[in-house]
Amino acid sequence: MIIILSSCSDVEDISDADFVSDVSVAISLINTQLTLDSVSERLNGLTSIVIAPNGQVTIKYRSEVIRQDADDIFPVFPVIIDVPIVGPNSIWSLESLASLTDAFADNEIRKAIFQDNNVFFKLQHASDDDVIFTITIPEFTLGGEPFTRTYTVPPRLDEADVYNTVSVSLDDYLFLPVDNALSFIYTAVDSEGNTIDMTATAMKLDFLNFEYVEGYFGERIFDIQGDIIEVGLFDKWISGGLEFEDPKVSVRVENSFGFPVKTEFQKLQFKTINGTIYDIESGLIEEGVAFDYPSLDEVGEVKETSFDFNKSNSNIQQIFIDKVASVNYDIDALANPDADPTISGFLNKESYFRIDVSVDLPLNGIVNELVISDTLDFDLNEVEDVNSAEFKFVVRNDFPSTVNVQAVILNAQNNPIDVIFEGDGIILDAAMLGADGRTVNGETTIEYVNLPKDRINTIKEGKRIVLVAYIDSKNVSDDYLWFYSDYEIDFKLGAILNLEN
Amino acid sequence: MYRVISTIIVIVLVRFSAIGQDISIHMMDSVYARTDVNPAFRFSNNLVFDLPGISAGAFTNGVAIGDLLIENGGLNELKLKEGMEDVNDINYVTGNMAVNFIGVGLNMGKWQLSTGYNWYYQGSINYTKDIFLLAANGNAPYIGETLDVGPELLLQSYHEVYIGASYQMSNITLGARIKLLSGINDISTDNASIKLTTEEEIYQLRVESDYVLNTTGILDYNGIKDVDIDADKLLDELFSNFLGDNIGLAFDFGLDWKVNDKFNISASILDLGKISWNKEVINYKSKGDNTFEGVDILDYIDDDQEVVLEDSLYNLLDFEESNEGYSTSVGARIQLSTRYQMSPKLTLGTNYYRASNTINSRYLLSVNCQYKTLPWFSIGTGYGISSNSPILIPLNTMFHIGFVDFYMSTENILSGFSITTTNVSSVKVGLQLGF
Repeated sequence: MIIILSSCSDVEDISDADFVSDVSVAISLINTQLTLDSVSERLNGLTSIVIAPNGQVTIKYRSEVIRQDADDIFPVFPVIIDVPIVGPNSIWSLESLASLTDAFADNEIRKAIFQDNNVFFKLQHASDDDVIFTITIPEFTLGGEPFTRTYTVPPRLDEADVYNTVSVSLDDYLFLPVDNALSFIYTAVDSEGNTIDMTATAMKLDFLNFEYVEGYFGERIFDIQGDIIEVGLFDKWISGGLEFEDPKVSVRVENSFGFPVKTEFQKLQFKTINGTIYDIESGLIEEGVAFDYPSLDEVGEVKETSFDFNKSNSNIQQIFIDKVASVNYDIDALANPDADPTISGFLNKESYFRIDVSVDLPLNGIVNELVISDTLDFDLNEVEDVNSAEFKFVVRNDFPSTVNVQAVILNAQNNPIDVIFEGDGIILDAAMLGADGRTVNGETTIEYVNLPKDRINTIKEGKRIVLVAYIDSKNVSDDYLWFYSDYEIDFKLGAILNLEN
Repeated sequence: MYRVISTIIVIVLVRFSAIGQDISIHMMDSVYARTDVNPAFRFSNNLVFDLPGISAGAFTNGVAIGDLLIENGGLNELKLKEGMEDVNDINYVTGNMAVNFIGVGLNMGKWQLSTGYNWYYQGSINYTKDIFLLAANGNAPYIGETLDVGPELLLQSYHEVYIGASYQMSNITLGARIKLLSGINDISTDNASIKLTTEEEIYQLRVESDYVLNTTGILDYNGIKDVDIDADKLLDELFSNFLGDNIGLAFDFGLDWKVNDKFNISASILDLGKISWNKEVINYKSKGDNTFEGVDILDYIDDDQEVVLEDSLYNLLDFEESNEGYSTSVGARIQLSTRYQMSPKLTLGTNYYRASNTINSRYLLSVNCQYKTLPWFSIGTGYGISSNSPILIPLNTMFHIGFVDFYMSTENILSGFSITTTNVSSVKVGLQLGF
């Protein structure tokens, strides 16, 4: 038993022992195949990458989409409209509506369908007996039958006594005005059939609200407002040039209002990274662009109109050479710009404008000694037990631009304390062009960075890392070069970490 | 992983010790415990009570783990690099313990009957040279190579109730035992292949695994860095689950041939059987080919998620859990021995013994002598070799006082009884009453 106990004592020595190791761990850290295609799949928000069927890439910067619905432009008019009925055969001109709301100024309603409206009548007579009142409005029809109602109006008690009928829904009633007017036909008789004169008669509508309106809506401006499009391409710019062959501001309009509308640009300005503001010069600004719209036979359809400001119709290419940081625009829509009242248009509850403005940068350009930089915070204080390290970079560049990358470590006072790569940094040689204008696979570059213990200790004092990239396409071609979606930067990083316990 | 393995090794050594002391027990002719290695061996008393005894031992064919211990400033440090020269392609650490609670033998002339109850532990871990090198050096020295890093494991405890009989036919005695086994707890590997490759390009890691680890609820796996083995359940649940779940059967067969009045040849095959484990079973299975090639930074565009390499690395070895019952053999043993009665006091003998469990086996070969110095005292020694040691010097003593027999033996007196600094260490002590 003593022997067994002494054996257990040995084992306790083992279980209590500290594990001492000075191992070397080899591990892959980063393995990324960076293509514009792969980046585009992961972008969200207002920046996107559009890839053409042939693989050519366009970066698209958007603002929020602007949308205005029928109720925004022709709001429901929530006031009881008092339409006087003067005599058994009377006519009321719809022009009177213009005095109630601007929305009806210059309007001529030729056809409409009511929605969520109610109507009732205010009736007054001088008889001491019941009066049978029957009224017909020929312009209001439902299934071809004109609106007709009969009411029994009780004897008048005094001169102030006015009888209000019950409300009647006008939903789905078709409204077909004749000569932009509404007519009323009524009879009023007592119990013996004698005609009674009405001392006061009126129709009350609770809302001016239509499911569908057809007619002429006048020449009017809809204030669609605008927005600012941020162009982040030059956020990290330090020096050098990036020239695009054909930058664009694209406007795409969806319109389901059935009347002519054209653009009125209040503003289309470009602000560069230096703060200079340019107004675009283009005939489209002065002339405007007419939106396509559905005809009376195309109610419910949405028509699209697209146009853009490009190098052939504006000075946008010259503006972009100055490195645009944002685009500020304000667009109005001018309805019935020709003020032709013979044009009959329509709108319904589903009608809307939707305007999508974007800055499109087709990646067909010249990169001229472009230097960009970014500074990132980092903290390696938690990295312990690493005695020394060797990093291995394996990089291949399929883009037609040479890329040099350097990384500089800054301390808390922003003073450089270490430069990661020797010389000009890790150099990713440009891929050369093939006969079809696309690059062939680039050469693989392998670079090692050794970090002995003293250098690791220095880097651990760092607080920020400045990444600087120098990019140039001139050594491949002086012409504009397309970037294709399948161009790839294959970036791989592995490390051997010599650990000490 | 190496921390997990070293923990298991410690558990093997702490919790278990061996049944390997059978190098000379065949020479102890009046001891009832001889029937453990050959049911045809006979005892001399009419009625024998084998009182509680214990046998224990530990073996390794590789690095003696105590050699890795370095004292530094009063603290023990475990330095794997100290064992680099001694490590074999396949290394095992095995520990066993047997507690013989009670045995009863009845001599009925040509027939002898026996019954008893024992309690066993056995623990083994097989580790490859690659595991040792990986733990000692890391994977960087082996870039471009594939390392075999799948350890085989067996940790098992069980009860045994037996009934045996032997029959003497002129000069040949035949014996047999049937053992009812009742498993307590088990951890054991089935397939144990894990291959780790470090690619040359940027040290991408590839793991090909075909690994099955079965347990009865004493191992909790929550990732390679979070493995919890409740070893106390192997040892402390001494009387738990007796004849409950996890039932098994095993058989022993033996023969003892008395060639003439002085010379005996005997042979036995033991522990042919298995235990079916079905209580709280958890199977951890990993089969497939997983690669970690580094983080794709595109996955972190516009994402505040922290880049964590560690999780990806641990996922290289991904286990699925299931709850399917399984069985393990208890480990077959073979013994061939001879005894020659040189004089009334001196007996010479030879012994070949091979013990296996589900993941490894060990043999030993010995020549023995037993000398009865006094009517109440005998002593035995000899020389032996084993698969993990070129020299074994066994020692046993027996005291016979009235109806009491006390005995103890060790397989290798040279070991100094340290189970951490030598390759072989074992001891057996016992007491019996004979009438």
